[in-house]
Amino acid sequence: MNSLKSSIQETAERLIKRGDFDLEAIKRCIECRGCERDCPSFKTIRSYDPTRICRDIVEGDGENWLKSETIWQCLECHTCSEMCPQVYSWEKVMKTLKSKALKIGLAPQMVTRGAELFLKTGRLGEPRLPLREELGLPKAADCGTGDFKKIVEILGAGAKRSKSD
Amino acid sequence: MRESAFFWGCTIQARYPFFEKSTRVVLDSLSIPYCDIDGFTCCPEKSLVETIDEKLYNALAARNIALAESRGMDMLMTCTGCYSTLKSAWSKLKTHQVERRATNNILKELNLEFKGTNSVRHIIEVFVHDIGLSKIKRKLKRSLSRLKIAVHNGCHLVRPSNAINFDDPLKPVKFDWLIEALGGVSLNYETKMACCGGYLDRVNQSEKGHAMASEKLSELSALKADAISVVCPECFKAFDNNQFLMQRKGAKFNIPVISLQELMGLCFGFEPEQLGINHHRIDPSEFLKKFDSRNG
Repeated sequence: MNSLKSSIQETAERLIKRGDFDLEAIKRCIECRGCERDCPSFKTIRSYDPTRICRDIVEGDGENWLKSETIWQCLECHTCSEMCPQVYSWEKVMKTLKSKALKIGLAPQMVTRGAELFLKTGRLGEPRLPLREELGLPKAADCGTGDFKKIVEILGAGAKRSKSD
Repeated sequence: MRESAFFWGCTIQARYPFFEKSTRVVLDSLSIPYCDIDGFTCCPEKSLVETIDEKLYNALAARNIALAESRGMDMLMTCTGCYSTLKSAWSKLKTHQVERRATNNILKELNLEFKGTNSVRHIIEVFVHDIGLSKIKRKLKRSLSRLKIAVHNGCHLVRPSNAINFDDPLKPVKFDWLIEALGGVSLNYETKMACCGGYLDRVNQSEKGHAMASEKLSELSALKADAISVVCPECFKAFDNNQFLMQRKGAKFNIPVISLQELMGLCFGFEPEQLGINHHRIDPSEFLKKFDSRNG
């Protein structure tokens, strides 16, 4: 557990140093909070408070949030980014944390499974054939698995972050 | 009108083929030219795939657009997730030269190129802008006859507005215009722009998602809404499937979820079964009875 914790800390610190977060923008986020009352999660989930997360990031404690369910409570509804006077937004902060959490294996199980399914097939489910037939729908078009695999290969995408990365 | 390649997306085909059915019925009724083409991948879904890898997300969206463009076709869709992904990608590639060059370097390997000669459109755009409300009104064989409909636009139908740019991102009106054109009353309600919460189902936090949906459903129940209407299969799931699950645990909302295309199909004279409405989990029979009696 300790080694996991230290590896998470190391990763997060490195990421922050690399400039994944715009710390100046986050400081203004902490002051502004103009989107707060319009954020659907802030309104309905009592414990959801991105300002706390922003403060921790500024203070260098952002890594603690990588394993929390809180960062996954951002719905990516774009309400905050729509209102953000600095075109930054809570959503961008949460997205960065989610992405890092997924790479180091701390995402919720369903996200990890969804990612596996997606990287295998290029889509998120197969057409439901019996119901298609019952409804008299035409055959579903083929999906571009070949091109999908080529793009994944070109980009080397979806590879798990190795320890030395 | 130029022919569009219809982009059904994963959720409709994997989970809700009846969404596809009613959409086809309505497009055919309005003689909107569209077809299916082979080779589309997932749009891809932003909240998952952009989190996996931003470059992969951008490249796949660009490829889907370029594939339709190579056939000389626009893209048409109803899923708001697909729409927001593809229209955002289109806008970025259209206006950002560096991004376009980098993306086209990848697409070249697949003999594709993004040139920016086609467009990405939602069915609401086509209904309101190309067909027009007056032509839709002339098509009506039956009417919603003042039934109270709660429009749920869905976050990604209107945001991010710098890419979507066809309706107000915080106070949209065009979906409402269509409901009014069908003879319904589009309810003005407090939680109208609240998110369906469906995303939380996909991150192992369903209960919080249900709480979000239940705020809207409670308000609509108090307002005696006859139905809630959506265009997105994810929002449909959040209100139909999740409402069903909440009712099994004792909640009592009974708000049927009837998509825009189902409402249009009913008003164009089709029977509920021809539109697949019989496959919903929340029983729509009360709504349908009212609809029939007002059109008696």
